[in-house]
Amino acid sequence: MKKVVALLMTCLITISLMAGCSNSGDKSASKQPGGSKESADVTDTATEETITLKFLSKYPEDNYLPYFQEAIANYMSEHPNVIIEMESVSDQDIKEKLSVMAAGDTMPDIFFSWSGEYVKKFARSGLALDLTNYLNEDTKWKEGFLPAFLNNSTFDDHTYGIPYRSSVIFMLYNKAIFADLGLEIPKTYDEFLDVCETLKSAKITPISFGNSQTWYSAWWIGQFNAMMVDADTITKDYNPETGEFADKGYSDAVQRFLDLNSSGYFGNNVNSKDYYQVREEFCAGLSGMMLDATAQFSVYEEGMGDDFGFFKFPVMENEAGDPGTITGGAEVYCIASKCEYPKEAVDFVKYMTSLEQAIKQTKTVGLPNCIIGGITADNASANLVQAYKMAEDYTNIADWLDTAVDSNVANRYMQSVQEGFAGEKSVDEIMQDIRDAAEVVKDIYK
Amino acid sequence: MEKKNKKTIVMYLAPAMVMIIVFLYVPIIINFINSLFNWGALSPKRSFVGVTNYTKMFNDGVFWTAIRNNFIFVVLSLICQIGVSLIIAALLEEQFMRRLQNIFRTIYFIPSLMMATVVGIVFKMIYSPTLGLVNPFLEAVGIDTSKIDLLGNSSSAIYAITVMSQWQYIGYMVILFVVAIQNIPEDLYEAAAIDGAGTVKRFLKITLPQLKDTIIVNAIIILTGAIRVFDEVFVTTKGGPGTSTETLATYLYRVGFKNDQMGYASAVAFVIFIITFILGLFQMKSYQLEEE
Repeated sequence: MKKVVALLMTCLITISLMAGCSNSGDKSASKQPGGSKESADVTDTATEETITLKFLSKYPEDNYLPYFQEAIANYMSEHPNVIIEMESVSDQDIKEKLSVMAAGDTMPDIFFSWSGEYVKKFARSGLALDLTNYLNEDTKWKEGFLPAFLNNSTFDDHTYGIPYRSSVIFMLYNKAIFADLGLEIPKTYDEFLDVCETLKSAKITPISFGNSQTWYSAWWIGQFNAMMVDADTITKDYNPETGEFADKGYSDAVQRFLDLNSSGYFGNNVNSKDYYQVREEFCAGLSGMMLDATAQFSVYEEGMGDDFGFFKFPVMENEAGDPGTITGGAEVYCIASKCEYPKEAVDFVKYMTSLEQAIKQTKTVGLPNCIIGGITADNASANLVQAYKMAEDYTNIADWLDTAVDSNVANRYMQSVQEGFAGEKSVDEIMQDIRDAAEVVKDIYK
Repeated sequence: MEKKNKKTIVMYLAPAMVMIIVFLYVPIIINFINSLFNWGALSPKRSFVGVTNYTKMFNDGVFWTAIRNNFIFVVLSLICQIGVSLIIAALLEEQFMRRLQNIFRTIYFIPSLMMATVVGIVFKMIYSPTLGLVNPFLEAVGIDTSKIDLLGNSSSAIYAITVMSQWQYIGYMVILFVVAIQNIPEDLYEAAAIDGAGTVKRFLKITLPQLKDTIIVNAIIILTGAIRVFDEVFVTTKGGPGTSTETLATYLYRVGFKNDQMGYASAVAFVIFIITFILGLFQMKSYQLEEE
């Protein structure tokens, strides 16, 4: 008898330990008591059942977070049966976070992604829900988005991401410094180099740039590629299944980028300065120009006031690329393919991307939305309105390089260019690294 | 009766055994199986490739860079955390330092209580050529710093990170050695003093031999820690510039979670396991030494 009791106790302890360690929350959309999966009528949100949706967002910073918290609180007060559990992760960490979640099969119901290849990865791997039918069912919602940004998350006529924040890059400049030195806004790349030389002669760092966080160099390379490589070649090479990066334009693009550093236009020690440090330096008037995106305009307006100005990235003459292309893209909301309550999740995304909410998003935290008529003088600064007016003339928006190509190629690009800045790799060696990475990627997708 | 006791022992051990098997040995086996496939968290395909990931790894320059960096970490950690810590501990135990020993012990120990992330951010600032303290100090002593960018140059970055790590952990080792020295019978030193042995001789002939086992155990702890080093690199350089400060752990993280080559990352993880397992065997052996 004693043996049986001991055996039972042992089994009980073992099972309880294992149960304690197991992941009880593996179902991302959990239900509170009162309903079963089968009985959950997804079209009827007024049901008694309480639904919890996990939401992975960006923007944990104090200046952005309250907007998202308030939006969620408002949504939950309008939908008492829905609980939105938000987790906010910084821009730098969210890529890894998503990879870890994908590897662990713990994708949240609603999750952040960048547009372009980044969404495509989730679509290919079956982790993101195809939202095409939901968009087609509500044409007013679908047609409310600026087409360029919705298209960046649409592949083979299937949409996997709903854009909520748009951004395009501009060259920012310090109006006071330009006025003091009698500088004109450069329209061509040669004029741009002349401006850099004048600033350098005046002992002012021409361009604020830091590369310890390598994603920032991806913006530059992406823009140079877009201007120096034929659009069809880019489309072929950015595709993980066909990428070769053999075109000479890619080498020239990297060379131009490295030349800016070797000419002293980026100041010293670029590999040990990060984006945030150089942004502060630019705001403090220590440099003449800086490349940044519309989503950050509010930071400069606050930091520089009337001294903040911007212009389109100068056109490179006689190059194969499209001079009307500008780097940019959207941040989108995806819904996990395993989400148990897709209609509720779509409803929440629809709320977050409604015109009313989009206007509020831009007005309160300065994050440009992706809705037609969503950026006006009523809810955005004069700079932002002007920037989006200028962007209407651009022929194409090229996704950020680090989200436009496969991560193996993107990381290789950023690492090798960093070595190029340190003087440890030539352009040919950098391009060879990238071609090697492209080969690895092709093998993966074979 | 003895048989009954054995059964009871087995039954009481079973829960722990099951936990260890499920959460330690099974994942190791699963990891090895995963390393034989090409797969990714975001990739729809999973194909068997045999030992290709291992052959690819041994031909991968970054893997050898990581091994080299781990080796640098091991060597410098052993020199600083065994050599320097031991000397500091012996000095603190000297008669003339006894009165100030507590103050120094506290000062040395505080860095080891700090999170590696905090230390990383602080040292990133200290090393910064534009905002930091190191370059102005070097300039003050007449060294040209125009080419010195400790974390920004591939040649210096790994050493800068290693120095940071030593700063953090030397104090911890000092405490361990101080405790061990205090356990050495005082009469040994008294006898040596009567025989006319000086401070250095007492250290070499009494302290060192008496601390042999402690030194071995601490060395193994430092070694395994240096093989797994991750936080210090991740916070300061993320493996850069380029791949110059990549260690096995950061490389594993990069290929797995950044490049989504989970099969390859599993192979790197298995190699790390093999290395630490071998070191673990030495560790067990050293414990036996201690018992003897």
